Amino acid sequence: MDQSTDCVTGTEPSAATDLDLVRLAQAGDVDAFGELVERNRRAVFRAALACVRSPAEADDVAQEAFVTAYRKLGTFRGDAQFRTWLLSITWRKAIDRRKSISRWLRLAVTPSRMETGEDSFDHMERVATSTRSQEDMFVDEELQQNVTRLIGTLPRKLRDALLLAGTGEHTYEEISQILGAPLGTVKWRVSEARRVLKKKLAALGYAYE
Amino acid sequence: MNNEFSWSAAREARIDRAIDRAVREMMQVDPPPGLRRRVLARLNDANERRSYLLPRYAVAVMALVVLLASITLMRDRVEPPTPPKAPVMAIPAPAPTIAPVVPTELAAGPAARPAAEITRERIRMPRVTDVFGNRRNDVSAATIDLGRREIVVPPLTIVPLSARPIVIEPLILPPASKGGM
Repeated sequence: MDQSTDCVTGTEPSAATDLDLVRLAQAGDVDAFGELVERNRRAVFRAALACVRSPAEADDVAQEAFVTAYRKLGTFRGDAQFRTWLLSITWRKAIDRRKSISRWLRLAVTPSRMETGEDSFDHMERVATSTRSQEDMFVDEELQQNVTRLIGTLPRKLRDALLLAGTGEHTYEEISQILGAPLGTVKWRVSEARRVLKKKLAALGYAYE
Repeated sequence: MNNEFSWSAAREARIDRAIDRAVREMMQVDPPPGLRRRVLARLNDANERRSYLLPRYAVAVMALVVLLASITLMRDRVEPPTPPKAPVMAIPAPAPTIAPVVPTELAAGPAARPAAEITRERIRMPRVTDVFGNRRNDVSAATIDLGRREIVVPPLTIVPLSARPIVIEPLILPPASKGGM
């Protein structure tokens, strides 16, 4: 048996690195893969959420991404980080979901608040990790709703970059690899998204021109 | 002026905060609990389904192969034997007359034609190596007898390129009428 595998086998799953767990999972250890799911579930879920913008669909996409990653573990050679590789799979799955005809049909029959630009999330499903600061309490609620609605009207490339950057889970380098765009392009898209939002808000009378 | 600038900056900052907060509230959502359990359950289901469906697929593929093989064998058995090739004969040149040259097979009517000739098999045409006959007797400057002023012309034979007989339709002209009508 490989010496490195021996070493990995002796370690606790929580102390093992992602690569160690990947090696174990490649050898057929499903529990090791379960640990990888636990470690990356939030990043995967939020990446999917940035694309499909529905928590229920993001959950489906996250499951599909993990299952696909497990099946393709044999092709992972460790050249890149497992997390980046996993996020790339997630993004492709999410894009497929976003383009799927059944999703469009479902949205056409029952347009969700997300697509109409109203509050995008079901409050029952929302588990915010951060509470509103005292400063945020003073922000006009109407302005807030308008910003949320206008984010939905942004071009997809700008919106994807803005939302991925807003997850709090992904660095710009990761976003660059997920989207397959240069780092500078990602930063420009985030900046451009904010500029377009401000311009639209100005048209609504929220800022001086 | 300074007051106006600070008011504008405060407004700008307020909008920035609104954008940040909107994005944060949209994206900083935790996945529903039990994602790990659901993923592992799907992995187990997929493995079980694969092990369950594999024998079924194998049986279905085997049945399909047997079906295709039997159909192929049946087709080979039903196919009639190939008839012998019809002999290809050289057709003599038609006489210089306006009357149509109708081959005996066509003149006798379709009933006289043997049914065995109708086959899907291709009839290979005989290779025609010398379409101009025996060229040793060709007319050339050497064959002209200058003293007798006669040209020796060998009998003209036409070897058709096709076994299909050449039928020259008689040209029937209507009687000429005045005015061309």
